[in-house]
Amino acid sequence: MAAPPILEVRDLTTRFHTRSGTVHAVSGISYSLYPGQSLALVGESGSGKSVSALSLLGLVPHPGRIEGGEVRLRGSDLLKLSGAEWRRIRGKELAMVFQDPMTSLNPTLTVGRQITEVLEAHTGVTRDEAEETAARLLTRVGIPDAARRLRAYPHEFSGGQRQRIVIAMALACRPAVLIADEPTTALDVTIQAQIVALVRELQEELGMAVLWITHDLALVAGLVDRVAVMYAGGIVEEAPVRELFGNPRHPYTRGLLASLPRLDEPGAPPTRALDELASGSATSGPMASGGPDAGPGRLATIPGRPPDLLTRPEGCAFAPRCAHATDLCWVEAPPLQNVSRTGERLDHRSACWLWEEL
Amino acid sequence: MSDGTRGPDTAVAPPAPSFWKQLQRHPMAVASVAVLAGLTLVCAVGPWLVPWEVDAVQLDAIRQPPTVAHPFGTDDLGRDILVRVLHGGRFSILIGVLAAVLGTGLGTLVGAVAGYAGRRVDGVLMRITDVAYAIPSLPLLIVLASYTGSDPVSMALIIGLLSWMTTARVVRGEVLSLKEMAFVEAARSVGAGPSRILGRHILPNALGPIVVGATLAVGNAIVVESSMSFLGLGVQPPTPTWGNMLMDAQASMATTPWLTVFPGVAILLTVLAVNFLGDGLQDALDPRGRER
Repeated sequence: MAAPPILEVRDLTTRFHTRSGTVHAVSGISYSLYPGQSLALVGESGSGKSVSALSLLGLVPHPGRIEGGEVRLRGSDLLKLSGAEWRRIRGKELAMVFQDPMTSLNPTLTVGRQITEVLEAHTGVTRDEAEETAARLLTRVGIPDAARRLRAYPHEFSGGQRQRIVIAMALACRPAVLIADEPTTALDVTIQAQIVALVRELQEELGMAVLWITHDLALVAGLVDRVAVMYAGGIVEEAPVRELFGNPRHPYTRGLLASLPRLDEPGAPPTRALDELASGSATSGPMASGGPDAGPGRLATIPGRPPDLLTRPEGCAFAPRCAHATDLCWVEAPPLQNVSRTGERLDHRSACWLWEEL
Repeated sequence: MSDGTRGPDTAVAPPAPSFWKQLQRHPMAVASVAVLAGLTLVCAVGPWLVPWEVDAVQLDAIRQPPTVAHPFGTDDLGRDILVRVLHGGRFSILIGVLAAVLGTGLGTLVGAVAGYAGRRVDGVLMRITDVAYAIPSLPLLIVLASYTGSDPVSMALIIGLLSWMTTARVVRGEVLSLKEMAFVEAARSVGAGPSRILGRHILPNALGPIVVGATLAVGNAIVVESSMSFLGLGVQPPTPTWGNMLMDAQASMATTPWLTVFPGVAILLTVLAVNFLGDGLQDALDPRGRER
């Protein structure tokens, strides 16, 4: 990690002040993203991963507010920017690809206009130059006959093609950081793979850093450099991807990994668990015993349900669902601390009092 | 993934049926377009083709029922009703369109700002709208008309100024729902500012209800102008409008019905056509209807 991080998030806190109380959507998360690297924020629905992504762009919807922390892009804090300054960053330095390609393009504008608008807003190019660039971008993301199809409207494209167009739009100004907020959830499986591969290729080509927001641990495995697992608005564990899968040091991560189906185990059930994990309903499944111990042939689930973010618990947010919780866990929240084994410092952090014993 | 360009997702969705095709499913709307275009054209060029002047008094030919020389008959002063209906149509249609454009424009502006800004701005603008709604418009029209005078353009202005509230509410509702759409968030995420978001991403998607409202407002403005004229507060004689021709004729409705029938039928036809067209447009412009 010689190069300085391109994006550094410190103690980011975002809350929603609603009539029924304050929702603690993101509670002091920190991570760094290095140039060309990819990091996955993994968590179930409501864990705060999407809100934390929107916070990076300053697009938290009302009544949400970023209430603390820093988001440093190349060292300068974005949270101190004015609205107009932040607009100049969006799309140029930081860009985002959204979940549902069917609704993330304006139905009344040609796809060409939607791409050239970004270029014209951020660079001083003429309309003709912008159109040329747009055609090149469309070709690059795999839209055949790009020059002609620039004049087509979004409804004339299929879902996978629309996501390619959204990607072209996000990458028009060669941003340093791309935030991919579950960009494949709304697509069918074969197209998911194509889109993921496309983003990876482009990441390498442009040397950008990619922040993947996903609920799909299986997707992340072969895709990213580092993984941060989110639970109840906080990061509970963060590590390089192989380390996290091989040596998980938080009971929640262990539960998630245990609920993944394994193809190499005979009698393993089909991919049902992935869907459950996806919808977050794994948690409302049968009250199986603590994840890792579930027998073969049956997918493990994490007992209990995700916490209500309206109330911050005194202690560890995961304690009510944790098989290992001790008295300490109930009264004091564990800090995200470095995990080391036999004196050797691993690039691995866990927010569990019991990380050594797990 | 070198073959990323070829896959099941290269399938092309069939283009949505065009706006005209969609409108053609409403025969009444198509007929209304023809009626309105015909009326407008006839009123625009007709007065030059009829051999009578609009104000030509012919005391030797008063209160004549329809004849070959005067197809619509003549009035108390021997003026030709046909040429007066055509002339009146110019003013009535002008007032209708001008008032509708003004009212719709103002309503769109108020609704868009309220819906987009939200919170306090929304609260203030919508309460103003509520108050404007609550004031009976006819007395207000009468008061305003006494200040502005009653030439056709002033009439259009005050009718427009008093008919923006419905549009404001409709547009606000549309903006409220459209601003939560993913493509608006996507536009924001690539650096679009508020004016661009509103002007290029939100309002074009709300065009359907705005156009429908504007169409209906034309009919409404013509009716309001007629009512005003009927009360003697609209455009003043000798300038003819359909409304003040009706007013002139009210005393002699039993003896000389043609004085009432022709301007009355003109108003009826126009307003009916405008309303049918509005209904047709509502379906044809609804994107959910077009994506079938």
